[in-house]
Amino acid sequence: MAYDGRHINSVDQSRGASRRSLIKAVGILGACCASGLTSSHAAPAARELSFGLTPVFLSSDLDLIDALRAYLAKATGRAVRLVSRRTYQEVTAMLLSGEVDAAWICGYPYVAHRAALDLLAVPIWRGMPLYQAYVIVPAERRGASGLMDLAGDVHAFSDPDSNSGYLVTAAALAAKRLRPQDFFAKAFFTYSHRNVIRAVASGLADSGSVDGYVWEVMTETDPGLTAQTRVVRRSDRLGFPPVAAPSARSGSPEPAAIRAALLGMADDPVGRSVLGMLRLDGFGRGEPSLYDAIAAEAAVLQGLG
Amino acid sequence: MIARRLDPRHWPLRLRVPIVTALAVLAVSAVITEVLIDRLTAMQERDLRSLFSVYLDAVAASVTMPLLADDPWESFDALDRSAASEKAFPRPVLVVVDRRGSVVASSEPKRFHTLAPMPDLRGPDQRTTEPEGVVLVGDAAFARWPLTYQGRTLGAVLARFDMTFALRERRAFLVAAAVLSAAIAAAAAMLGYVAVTRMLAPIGVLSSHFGQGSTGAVVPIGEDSLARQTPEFRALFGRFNAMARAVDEREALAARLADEERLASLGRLASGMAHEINNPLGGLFAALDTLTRHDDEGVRSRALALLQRGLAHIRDVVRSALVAYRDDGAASPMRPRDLDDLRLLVEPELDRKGIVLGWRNDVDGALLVHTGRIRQAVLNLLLNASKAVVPGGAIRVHAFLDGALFVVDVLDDGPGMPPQEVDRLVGSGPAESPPLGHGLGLWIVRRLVSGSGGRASVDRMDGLMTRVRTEWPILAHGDGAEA
Repeated sequence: MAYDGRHINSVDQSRGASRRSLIKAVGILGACCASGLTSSHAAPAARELSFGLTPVFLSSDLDLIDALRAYLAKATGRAVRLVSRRTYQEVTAMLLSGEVDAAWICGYPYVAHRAALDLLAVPIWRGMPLYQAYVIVPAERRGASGLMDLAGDVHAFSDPDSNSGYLVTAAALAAKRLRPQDFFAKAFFTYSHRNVIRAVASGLADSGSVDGYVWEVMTETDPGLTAQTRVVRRSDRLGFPPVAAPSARSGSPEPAAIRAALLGMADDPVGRSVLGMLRLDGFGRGEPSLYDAIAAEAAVLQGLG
Repeated sequence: MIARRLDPRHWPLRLRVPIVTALAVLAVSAVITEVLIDRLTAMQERDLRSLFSVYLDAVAASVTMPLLADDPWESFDALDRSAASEKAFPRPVLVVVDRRGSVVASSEPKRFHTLAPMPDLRGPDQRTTEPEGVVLVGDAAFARWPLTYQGRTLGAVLARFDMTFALRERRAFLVAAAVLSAAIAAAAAMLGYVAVTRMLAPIGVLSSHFGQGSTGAVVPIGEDSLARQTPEFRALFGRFNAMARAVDEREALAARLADEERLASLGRLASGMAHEINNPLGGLFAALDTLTRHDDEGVRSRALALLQRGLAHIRDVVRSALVAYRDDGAASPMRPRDLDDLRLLVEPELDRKGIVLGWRNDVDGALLVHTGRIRQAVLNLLLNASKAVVPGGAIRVHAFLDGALFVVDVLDDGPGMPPQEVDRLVGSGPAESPPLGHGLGLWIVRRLVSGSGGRASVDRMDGLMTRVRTEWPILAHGDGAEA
């Protein structure tokens, strides 16, 4: 009867999604049935897994969320609850408090709380666990070729806890002993990389700090929007936003199950479809040292503060 | 003539009625359309005002909290979402300004940039102190919608709504009304034309019957045609028929009168004629007596010649009377003698009054004319002249040809013809009712002349002689006329 409850749960979670998602969810239901049967024979019913998501890039992509949940449920043999919040801070807080078993967070919160977090997996994009932070301006804007040309702008940041959407730009300014609130006429947060691009494209902001991976993926998925913007600064390659788990839970089966599922994603057809949507090659183990550069930037910023 | 034709007062009814109908329909339509457009405009403005107000209330609700947080992105996102969700009217221009009047966010960030001073959406030439609420100006509506939170004013939403869609609706309505009016007017005009044509059809019948009346006898309108008419025209046709019958009766009466007058004139001449016959009778008897009593050849042959002349004279007089009596009004060949023997009829009367008759007939051969009518007319004129002339006066008759006309002048040295008699003789139009009592002779002359297609005229020659001229069309000349 336990797997019956999982079935209902799966169906419930897909309720409200588009028809396409529903069909997909029904397809996934079959997969769940199969895995549920095997796991119920192998072990007693396991606890539901909870996985936190920051609005890394596609805050509204319900298809992706459905597919990811379906994959994780299939791969772990457990019911999976995906938790997303508007700000990085909220997701980070849920992760640190153990409210979620693992979360896909940004490099900046990771380095800020490295002592309390275990690195579970790092996405591989274009063959590397790295990405860049971009500073973009409206495509038609002339005479801006670097960050220092943007003095006096109305600037859009993604999130105060985002590496690419805040830290990289703020640290670059801090290196010149400048603060965003002084350098820019006005700076605001959109709490989504996609919205940074929208703000710059519409002209609401004169420039914006955005995740380079998100911008590149959106040139494929929404070329009309990114075409209205132009990249004027690309940061050094930095550690890709990682999946972390609270270190207090080290050794418990849930983080291990999630890690195994992520690392095996590229070997599974459902997992590959998720990776296809994310334009990722897969997940790797990653080393905490991957984030040393971000930690250094955070230190620069703290030094100025 | 053209000016007269262009004057609408001279246009036919079947044209005027449809035009007037169409114009009336158009005028009524124009007034109704004007009233409806006014109503439509008022309703549209009221509806749009309330629609915009409701919309702005929703926008205000969604941007108040972002404005409180001084958050351009959330303000922009709220404006963007509210504009995208609105389907009833085109995307408005929306600008959120803070308490200090600088732009926080707008639906068109490239035009109204964050931190820019408060814009004037109405343009520089219409700058006014923006009242709060929705103001409609031309093809746009403007609003300054205050944003308040806990009793404090945080700023405002400035809005510009494009209302050309409303103007387009009005214009579409106007075009539809105009097309409909034109169609109704055209239909009314056609209906008017058909109705008037049908209504006027009896007038056409009446007109054609009147037309026949002016050229000949008046023909009453047939009973079947009468039965088809509306009560008004049935009554009118009935009266026309009564009139036609009266005219016919009068015509018959006039003809009978003329006939009787012909006989009466003979009667008037009868004593003279009797005398004319009687006069030679004494000589004839004397000649007979001579024949019976004398054997002398010379005497006998003289008596026989006298007898022959006397009888011939009597024969001529009787024949002349008979010709006058028998006349049937048909055209017949007229030889000079046929006119000249009128002398035989009137001379005794003229002799009695001591009037001298001058007679000159320039016509040689035969003519095909209305001989009987000419004789009757000339006889009447001679009798009339004899009445006008004092004893010892003079009457002259002169007959001659003038082109295709046979002309007979009757002149007298009387005091002249009184105007009413002249009118009776030469008046225009068909001869009216016969005069009472006096002057019947002249009236008959006129009937005879006009009935033959000729004409009569009266002149005063040198202030001495009255000349009555009658002109008669000649139908044929010469030997052909004899046949």
